Amino acid sequence: MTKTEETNRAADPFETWRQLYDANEQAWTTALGEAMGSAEFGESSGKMLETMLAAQKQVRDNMRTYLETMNVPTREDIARLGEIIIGLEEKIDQVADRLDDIDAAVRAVPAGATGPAGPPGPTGATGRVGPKGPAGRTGPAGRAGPKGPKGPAGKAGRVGPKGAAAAAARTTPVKATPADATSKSGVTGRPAKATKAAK
Amino acid sequence: MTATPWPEWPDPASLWTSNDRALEMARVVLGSAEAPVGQTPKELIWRKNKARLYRYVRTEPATHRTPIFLVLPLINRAYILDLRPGASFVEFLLREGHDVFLIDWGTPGDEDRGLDVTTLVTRYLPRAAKAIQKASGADQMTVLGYCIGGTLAACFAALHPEVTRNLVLLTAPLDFSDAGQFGRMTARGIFPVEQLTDTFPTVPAQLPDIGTKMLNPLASYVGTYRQLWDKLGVENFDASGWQAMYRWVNDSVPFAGAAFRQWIVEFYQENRLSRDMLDMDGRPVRLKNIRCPVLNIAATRDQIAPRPTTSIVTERVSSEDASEILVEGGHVGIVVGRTASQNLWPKVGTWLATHD
Repeated sequence: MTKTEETNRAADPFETWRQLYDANEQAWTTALGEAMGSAEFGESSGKMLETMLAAQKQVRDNMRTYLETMNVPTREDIARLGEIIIGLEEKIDQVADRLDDIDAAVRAVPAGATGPAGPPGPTGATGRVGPKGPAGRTGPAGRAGPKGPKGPAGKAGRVGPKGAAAAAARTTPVKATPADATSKSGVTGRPAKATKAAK
Repeated sequence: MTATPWPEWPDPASLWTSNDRALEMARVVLGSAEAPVGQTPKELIWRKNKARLYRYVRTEPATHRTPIFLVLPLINRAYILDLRPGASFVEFLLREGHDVFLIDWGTPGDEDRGLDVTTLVTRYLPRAAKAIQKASGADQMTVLGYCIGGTLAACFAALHPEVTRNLVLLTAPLDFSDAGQFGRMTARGIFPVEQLTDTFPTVPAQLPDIGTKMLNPLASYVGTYRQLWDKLGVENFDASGWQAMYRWVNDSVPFAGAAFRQWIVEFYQENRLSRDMLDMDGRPVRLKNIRCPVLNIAATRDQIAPRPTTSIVTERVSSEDASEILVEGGHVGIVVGRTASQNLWPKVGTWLATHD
């Protein structure tokens, strides 16, 4: 570098700034890093921020009061409207999610498959009392109720009354059959089997 | 007696040259706000509130079956991963044959003061993932998170292992027990987080920005311009790259109040994620619930997510396949720039190809 070039570089204010920066960068970076890494700096910057926030809050509160007095919507009023819209959007998303779930469940069922089994039907009604048996003969069985397609066994019919003449016919209780598993209606008990009349 | 010689006057021509460079510097700096960024074509496929999910347009079908879901930070613009043609991670992934999706959180307003990290992880990310499933036809995806986005991605992967095929974390802080300068600045009893979020519905973008720049103030506030000064002296210097980066650095977004409070209290101050104490919507978020392959990428000179905050993930997840790439550089430098395109991106590309 000639002497003239050196002189020109030195006289260039930007070059001076660059040289100054290069010469001091490392030292300043180290010093600033140490200063800002200290607990004192953290505490001090926290307090500065607190002061700034307190002032800012005061400005905001004053502005809100002023706008409310003037019957002009505040930022908070407008934000509240936005919050309502965001809440509605979330609800729509939830509905869309549910629809997606239902759609996925429907698609998961293969074509032609039957639906799942229904719940068991109610307990069948007790069989009616058998009619009075003819004299000297075996009493007829109690009538069965209508057959229901589903449900647990009905109770056995009660014992029929004794026959009028000779030995009374008696019916014996009989267990009802389990109900059909596909009907909602109840199932009555099977007819009570009559015993032979005593000779 | 000898006369003292007069100082030699500088050549006026040299001053003009210097002034020209100063004017050029001013033009570059002031024009950076309009620098073209995020130019890779993309289409909007899902939206919720301010969040947007984009799918980058491919001219040919993807050659990899697993789509990539990019989760970006909350306080920075999403175009950092698609800075400009030739310096775009997205462009690289597309070239490698991936189907790429990106969630841009947008700019929160006062109405988002109640928007917290839990809501983002449990209501936004799963729905975005569902949109990706519908658009791509794939049941699972590679979730790739950068910075805070990486922390969110890790939480999402822990809650939704059925969706996450791979997890890639780019300088994502997960353990805040030794969070460096940021940790000291936001310590309980020092940082008035409640007062801050009570005053501002959304924390102004300048605050986290100043916090970041204060990690290295001289380099941030002076060194940037000093570097530009030198570069402007280089023949054929293309200022568009510097402008794009400068635009991104100074283009921060506000932090929704509730999200900021949760981020500072539950992550920085209480370190809940690392201590297995983080719950979201009543569900425990545990790193050990991550069972998919994990790639953790950390930077040696990262001051925003220092090494201790990023290093635990490979030990804490239950994945049999958990690896790490340690890259020489800073928090942003490893993601964009020449070093990234020549060093990191090819490594990530290879890892993704072997985990498709």
